[in-house]
Amino acid sequence: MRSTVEVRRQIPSVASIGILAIAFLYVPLMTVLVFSFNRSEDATVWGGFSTKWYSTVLHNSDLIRAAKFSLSLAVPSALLASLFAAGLAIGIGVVHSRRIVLLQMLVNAPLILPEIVTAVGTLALFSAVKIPLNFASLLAAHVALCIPFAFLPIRSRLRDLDPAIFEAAEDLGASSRRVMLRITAPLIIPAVFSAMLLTFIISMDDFLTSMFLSGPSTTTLPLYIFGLLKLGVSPEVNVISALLLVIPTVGLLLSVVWIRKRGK
Amino acid sequence: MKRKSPFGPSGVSYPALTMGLLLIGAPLLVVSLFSFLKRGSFGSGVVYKFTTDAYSSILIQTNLIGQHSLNTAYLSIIWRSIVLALSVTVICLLVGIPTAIWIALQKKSVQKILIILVTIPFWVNVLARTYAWMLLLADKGLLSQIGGPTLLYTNWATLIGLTYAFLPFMVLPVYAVAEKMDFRTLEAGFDLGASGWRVLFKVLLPTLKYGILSGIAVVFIPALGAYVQPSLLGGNKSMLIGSLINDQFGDSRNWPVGSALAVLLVLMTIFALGTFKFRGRFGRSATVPQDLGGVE
Repeated sequence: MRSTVEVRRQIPSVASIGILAIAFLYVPLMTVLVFSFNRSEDATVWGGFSTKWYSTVLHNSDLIRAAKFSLSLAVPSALLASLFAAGLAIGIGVVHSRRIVLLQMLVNAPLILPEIVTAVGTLALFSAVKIPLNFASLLAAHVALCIPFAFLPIRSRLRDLDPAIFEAAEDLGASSRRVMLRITAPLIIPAVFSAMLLTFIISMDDFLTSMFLSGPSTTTLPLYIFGLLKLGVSPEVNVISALLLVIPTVGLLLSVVWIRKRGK
Repeated sequence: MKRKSPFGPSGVSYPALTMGLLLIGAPLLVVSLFSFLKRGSFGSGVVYKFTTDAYSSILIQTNLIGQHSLNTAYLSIIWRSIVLALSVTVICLLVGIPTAIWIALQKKSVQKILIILVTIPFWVNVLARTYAWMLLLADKGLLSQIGGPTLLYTNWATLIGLTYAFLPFMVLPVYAVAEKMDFRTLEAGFDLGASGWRVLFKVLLPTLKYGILSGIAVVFIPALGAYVQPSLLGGNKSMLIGSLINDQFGDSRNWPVGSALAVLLVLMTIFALGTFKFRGRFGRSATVPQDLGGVE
């Protein structure tokens, strides 16, 4: 495409801004990664390569406990949210009545509403109807937060499917239950897996909802880490942040590769 | 339900709709209700008595001898939040639009990689991303080691941290429009003798309008309600709405005022959404990689 090349020559400054923007996004992350291997006791001064802070972190029992708790919360959150979101995408179809559009807006509100609003709202609701702050109430809040993120990939998958498949099934007399189990479900399984992965990350990362709704026995990993961060920089937090950087990124990239392979 | 879904029975949507009603709808309702109630006497919760004290106390303060005056404490926090969120939005516009155009001008395969690169930071835990800036901006941090100032615990650090967090939100919707744009229209503009600025304001920006408006809304709204970056990067002196709401539900224990502030935040969100109408996928949802959408 010659014209594109010419335009690129005419607006060369966009390239430099673009490259700077990518650098701006990655320099901080790379810094954390590099300094997680710092030998020094001083978090910000380089003192040679070492993995000693990794072993310190992996032996921190409070951290491990918080991580385990977050896992025990994120796994059911992701499963339930993806299941409910799949039900939502299947049940409301493509064309909606006005009532459903309104309800759907509520379900999808966490995509745009500042999280602090739903978080304090849920706290106020729980206190008004005397629901105790425990694992179950935290799980319910996480599921509600996660559903819209699970809904997106599943709905976009359903929209890409050929409507003729479903018309044929209906013409041949399949009940809507049979259509769901035999046709829709197998076709959306890859999207449901994506949904589970995304919502797992969202639940693992969630800070605000957990902060307002955590009881005495429900310290999530982000809550524990926030407590450390409040104290300032430290070699241990370098390592924790590096792990939080690497694990979801690798997971996400692997799943992109896996889904592409499956798609072929 | 009048219209039947082709994909299965409509009843399977009820669990999600119920969750939306109970855990999003009801909380919003309760917060609005609490904002019109009296503060609880033991410093927690509310007393079920109607009053508009929460709203008026945000605006007006009464001193010991009963004189009223404008309460600058809350208003200055709200004002500071708006100014900061606007600054973040402007910086994201200035950096995000050229970046999106630059990505759209690359080969398709390169575009895909660059979009994944823009998206990845979003999927890194927000605490880790914010910590990265603590490391760079701290006293004896890397910036000060190369002779720069120590910015940690100032408004500047919050500004940087929020810009960092929300830049992808600007790049993605603008890119979504730029990708479909025919760049030959720019060439036509140049050929017809228009200056670079004229092409920018008469051809390029109008074409990208919807992407830019979406970007403004999805950067401004979360920046306004942000809590993590201001409370870790900003100092104690530079409180924002998010921290203020947190305080009212925590240390200060004034749930009605906290609720009123949350209602204010919702109203500002609705206002921003109405002003900058947007199309397509937005905010966090735009960072869901296309490849994960189950598209083959």
